[in-house]
Amino acid sequence: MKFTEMRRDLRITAYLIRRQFKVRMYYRVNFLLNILGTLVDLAVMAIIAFAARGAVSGSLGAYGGDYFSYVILGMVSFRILDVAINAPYGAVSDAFWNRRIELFMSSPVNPTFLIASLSFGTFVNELIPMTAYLVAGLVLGFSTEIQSWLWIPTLLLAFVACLGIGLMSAGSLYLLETKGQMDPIRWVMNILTKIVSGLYYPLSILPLWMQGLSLIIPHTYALDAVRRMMLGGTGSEPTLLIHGIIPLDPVLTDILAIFAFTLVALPLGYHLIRLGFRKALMDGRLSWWS
Amino acid sequence: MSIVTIRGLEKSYLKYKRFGSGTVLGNAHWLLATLYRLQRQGRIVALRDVNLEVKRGEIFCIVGPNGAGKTTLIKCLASLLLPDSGYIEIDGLNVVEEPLKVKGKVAVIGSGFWAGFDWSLSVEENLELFAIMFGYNRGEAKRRVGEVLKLVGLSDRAKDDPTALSSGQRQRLSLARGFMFETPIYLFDEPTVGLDPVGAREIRNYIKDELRRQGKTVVFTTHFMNEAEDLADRIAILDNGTITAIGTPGELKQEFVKGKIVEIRASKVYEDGIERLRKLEIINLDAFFHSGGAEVTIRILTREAEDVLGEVLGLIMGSGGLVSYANISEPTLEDLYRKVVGRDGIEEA
Repeated sequence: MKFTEMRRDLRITAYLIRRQFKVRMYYRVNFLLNILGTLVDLAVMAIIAFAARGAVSGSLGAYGGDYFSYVILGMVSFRILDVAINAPYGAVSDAFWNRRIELFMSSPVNPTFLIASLSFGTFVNELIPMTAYLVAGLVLGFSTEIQSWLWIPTLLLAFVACLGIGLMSAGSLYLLETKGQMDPIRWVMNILTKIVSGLYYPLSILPLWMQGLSLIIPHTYALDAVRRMMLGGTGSEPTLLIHGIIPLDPVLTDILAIFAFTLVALPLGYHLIRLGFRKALMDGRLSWWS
Repeated sequence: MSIVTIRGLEKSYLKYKRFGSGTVLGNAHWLLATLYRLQRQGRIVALRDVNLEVKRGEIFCIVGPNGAGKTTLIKCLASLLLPDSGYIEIDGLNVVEEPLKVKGKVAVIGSGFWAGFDWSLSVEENLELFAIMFGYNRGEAKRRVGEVLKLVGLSDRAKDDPTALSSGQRQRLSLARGFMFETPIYLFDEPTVGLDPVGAREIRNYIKDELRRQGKTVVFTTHFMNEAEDLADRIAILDNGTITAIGTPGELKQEFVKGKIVEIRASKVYEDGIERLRKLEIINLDAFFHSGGAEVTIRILTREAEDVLGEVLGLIMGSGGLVSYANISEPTLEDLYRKVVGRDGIEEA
């Protein structure tokens, strides 16, 4: 890629981040109500954590033992990964229904890059409610004991892996004509991530077959690694099935697994969204108004 | 030297059967959507063996009735649609193989493109985003946006949302987006549709004077034959996906509309009179029926204008009609269009 194209692409990304911010702030009352809703969710989690503290803290040795911190950190990390999975489909869908996709595709910029930039813009703007969430969490007793700052690149790597899945989902809009609200990829991910990623509870409390299922989504590894690195647990205690199979440090195993997911999901996602655009260009169905 | 080359271009669309909204399955409605894809109902042919070349610096017009394939052709040129077969080259680049490079050389303004503007950004922010996509830095983008907004008469609406604009102003915004890029080729799909007469004339003048002065190549579609005659160096008539005629306005008239046009306006013409008129070699016949007989405007292309004029006048007056206007003139592009495209040579209003 030429230097001038890189500068152009950086400018586009900056502009689209700003654009996503304006979209978020367009209806300000709605924005404030969303923040308020997030805080209410947090309060509910705090109450549940308080009630369940005694029952689950024994299973949380690897994560520091505090259920409230375990859940809050899980929720924030999950939300970041959730943006990566949902934002590409949202960006393509919005552009499809509003005819913006034709304008995007009449420019000399790779449309997949535009979709990824819009998704990144959504992520950057999601930091606003997430910060509010974390600050309120800190007030209510969320505490960290950071073991390694590798949690940041680990989470970013997981974000990229999920972005690959998100691009697959966005490609399905054209490939499977899933132009409604949901597609099979996000539908399956939505169910799996909520049940077997370890978002609300440690996976060790689940039956073995469900723990096996948890290994096929990147969230499991990301949540485990980030919690281990941020909440100061008991070192190398295995928490996932894979930790008992691969004789490496659990955090390293998690990072390698996320890396493997990224290696597969990102090129596959890129390929599928390109196929999707190609199919739309063949069918003449690039936008609803085509 | 050609800047646009099209060889053997074919394009058809799949027809699908709709199954409904799929709400019964809730979030899993993608299942029905997949079934929907499987129910193909044949194909609609939009372009058949289209061949043409556009010279560098030429203003080239494509005319044709609704559904003729004009928009499909423009989209294929703009790489917004992939052809089924055939070859398209723009400024030495294969459109199918190097679409991003082609898009850097082409500014495309599609009919209804205004719908794609972002409602959350102002008019100038929308244009800035596209200027940045075409490689301008922020400063250059702002300068260029100011220039094109002035050009299309929207300077005072720069801070407004696109949703606050009238439909004509949105079309101006769409044109502003296209004029911004300073590319060697401009593709316009019905550029003046929705504009008031003054606005349409300003846009035509910009294309005719400024873009021509800059040596830009323009390919545009239109339904307005006066627009085609005013702007185009050459015209292609596209009908049912096929180019049926191509040439300069003079060449086309010479080839397809030999002779003169006899035009007559008359009133109180009754059905039997109209039936007798229909038997003549009519280019166009508009008839507005009311209780006192029809008011009729008739245009006839003929090489024996004086004789035919006399015959028609006799026919109308002989059946009690009143002639208010009669003239012999040179054929227009409108006459040419009606002759080439008109299915039976007669249209009634």
